[in-house]
Amino acid sequence: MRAILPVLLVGSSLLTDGQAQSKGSVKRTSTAVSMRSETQGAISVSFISAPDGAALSGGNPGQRTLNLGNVSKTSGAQVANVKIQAFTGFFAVSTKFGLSIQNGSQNSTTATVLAALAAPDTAFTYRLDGITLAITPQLLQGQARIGPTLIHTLEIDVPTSLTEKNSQLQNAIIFQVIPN
Amino acid sequence: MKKVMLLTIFAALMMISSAAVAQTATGTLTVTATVNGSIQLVFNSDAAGVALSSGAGTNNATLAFGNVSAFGAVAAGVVRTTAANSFTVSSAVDVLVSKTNSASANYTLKAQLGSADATNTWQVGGVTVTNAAQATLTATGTYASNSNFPVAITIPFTTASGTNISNTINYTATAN
Repeated sequence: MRAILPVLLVGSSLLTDGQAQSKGSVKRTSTAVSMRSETQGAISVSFISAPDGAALSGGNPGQRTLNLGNVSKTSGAQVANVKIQAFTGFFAVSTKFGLSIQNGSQNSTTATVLAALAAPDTAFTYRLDGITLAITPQLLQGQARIGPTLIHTLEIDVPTSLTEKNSQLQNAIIFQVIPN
Repeated sequence: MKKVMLLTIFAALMMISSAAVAQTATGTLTVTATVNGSIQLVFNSDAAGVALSSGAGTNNATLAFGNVSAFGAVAAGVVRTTAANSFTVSSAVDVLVSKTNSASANYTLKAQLGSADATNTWQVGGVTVTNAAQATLTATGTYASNSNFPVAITIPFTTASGTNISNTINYTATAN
């Protein structure tokens, strides 16, 4: 067991991003402590209402709701900053929102952002910054800056063939952020 | 045996370490909306009638017959019939009603004069229209198809020459 202890010291150092530890703390090192250290340096995602976008609701910054309200091809939208563009056979509903990436460890300045639909949707087409979303993660940004709020545009194509029976649009977009 | 054990533990810790470096974060943005069905009405020039002088393709158009008389020349596209005490000028006008996001099979089209006209008689699609109440032009209109509803004005012979005739016809399409 004396031979095992130095190995544990190395591992703990890696897990805590090389933060110095005293001998005393080493004695208390455990998996639980290492996980807490990882949490302190964790990367996080926050959604923010864009000045020219629809207002986001929900208290958790990383889990918010974007309610676009009632939308219609000819009557437009009733929610502020939700735009409607009419095309042959469909209309596009669009708005903007902000995404902020924070990294407690400060080890990275950029991150890769992926986005995916939470559930498949055959009726509506979702696009983020022009990229069509699917249930498999799509690359949104390869070098997203960590720190500042980046504005994204969400567009949803609504076919005019949809009727009152399937008029409810509800889905979630899952963002995955990986530090570069 | 001790060496194998050490290597195994070290490898396991290195894997945990790698997982920590490759940390990711996720966020979920729930998106909701309600799509409302809607219909749209626009006026189009009919090839057989007078071209709309403005607003073709919109829901606010102008139809100008120009100078009309019982026996003199009339503009192209104006159809004239003369009776014992009056004459009628008419022109084909297309009404196009489109639907989106609706299961409605057809529409009802009604029309009403904007203001009273005690002198002349107005008809749309063969139906007399006044300012008193909406008149039903059709109860089974076909969507996405130009439908000709001719606009006709019957003018008495007693009308003084140079009299200007002007009114507004308000159309209402309702999804059935």
